[in-house]
Amino acid sequence: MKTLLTQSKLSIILTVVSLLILLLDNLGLFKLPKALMQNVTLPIQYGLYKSGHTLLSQFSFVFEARFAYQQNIALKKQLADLLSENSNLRRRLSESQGAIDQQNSLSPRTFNLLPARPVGFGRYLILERGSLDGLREGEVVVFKDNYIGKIKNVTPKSSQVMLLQDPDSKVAVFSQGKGTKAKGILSGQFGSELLMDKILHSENISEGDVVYSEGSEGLLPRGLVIGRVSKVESRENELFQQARVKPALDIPDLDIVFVILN
Amino acid sequence: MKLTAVVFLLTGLLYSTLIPWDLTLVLLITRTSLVSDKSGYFLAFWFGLLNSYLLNQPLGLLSFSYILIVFLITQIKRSTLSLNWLNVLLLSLVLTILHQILKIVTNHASIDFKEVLAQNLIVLPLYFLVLVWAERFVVKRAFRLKL
Repeated sequence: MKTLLTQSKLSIILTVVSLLILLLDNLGLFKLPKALMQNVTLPIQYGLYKSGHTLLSQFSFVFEARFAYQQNIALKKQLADLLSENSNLRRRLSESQGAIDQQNSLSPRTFNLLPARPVGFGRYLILERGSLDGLREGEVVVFKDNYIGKIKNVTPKSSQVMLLQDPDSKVAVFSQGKGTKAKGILSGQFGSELLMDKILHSENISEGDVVYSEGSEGLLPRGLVIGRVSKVESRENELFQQARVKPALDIPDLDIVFVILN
Repeated sequence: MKLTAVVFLLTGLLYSTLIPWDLTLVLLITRTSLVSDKSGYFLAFWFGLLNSYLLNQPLGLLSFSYILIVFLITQIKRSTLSLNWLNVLLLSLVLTILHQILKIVTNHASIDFKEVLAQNLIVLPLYFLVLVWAERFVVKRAFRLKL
């Protein structure tokens, strides 16, 4: 009982003292002693804090290793996604630039142009547009003011373009240079060059002349660039002159082409 | 007693620097549950003052809180309720929440339930540690039978 009373008395005394200290601290009477004591305790606290963190950092790899594998996989996936997005954005930028350049070359007021992306290249150039997009056989495919070919086959979702290099391709053209002008028929030959045939001897043609479409047949407009004359073959015993024509464009380099809709 | 004071000093320093949990409070709860003497009040008072100073809180606040907790535990021990490890755990949960409420009232902060949970997770290991310590390593005064 005595112990009980003593302990209760002690608890009351200490509680009162604590509350008194609290009151005096709120009045600011302990500012100076606290400031003086901090000269001693702050370095100890700082030392303990730095030591603790240094010790923990030695073992941090234990915790981080667990997540490193998952983080690695996530980062790899993120990288793959970013590369794909980058590639996509570059392609779209190229297409947009192509569309702008096309508008500057062939006025959209005169020509109704449909952009199409090449998705295959063999004997024919395959486009990812078809009859559902309004394409028809015989429509002309261009890039800026360069003639590429003519649509040969159309399916609902794709179409095949017969290129100038195709042996079945026959286009009426004319060449123009400094004081030279000649008309002929351009036919394709498997390879990188084209043959301009049926050029009259009375007409002048020379190397470097630019070859354009005549525009006298089908849907082909006049004045589309075909290429440049690389070589003239003229023999007196033959009825006509011939010229080798190098195409203006390299088809595999194109990301986008345009179809002149009827 | 010296060792106890050193341990309390260490817990106070750790609380103010590295570990965000009030180890002093948990140690006080477990010690008072097992050891019945006046020293609990002195430990609560002095180390409450120290912790208030180290944590830049108003002096006397934590002392008051710790003394109150020691008093409550002492009163519960005198009741018919036995303070086994399960009861100590429940008591600790109540007292740590009470301590948090007191801190909220004075500091205008919100209850940190993570701190309450973390503190109560280490109550049991500390309880058994103090139990082993009190039973095996503390020399008790010899008592004589009055014949």
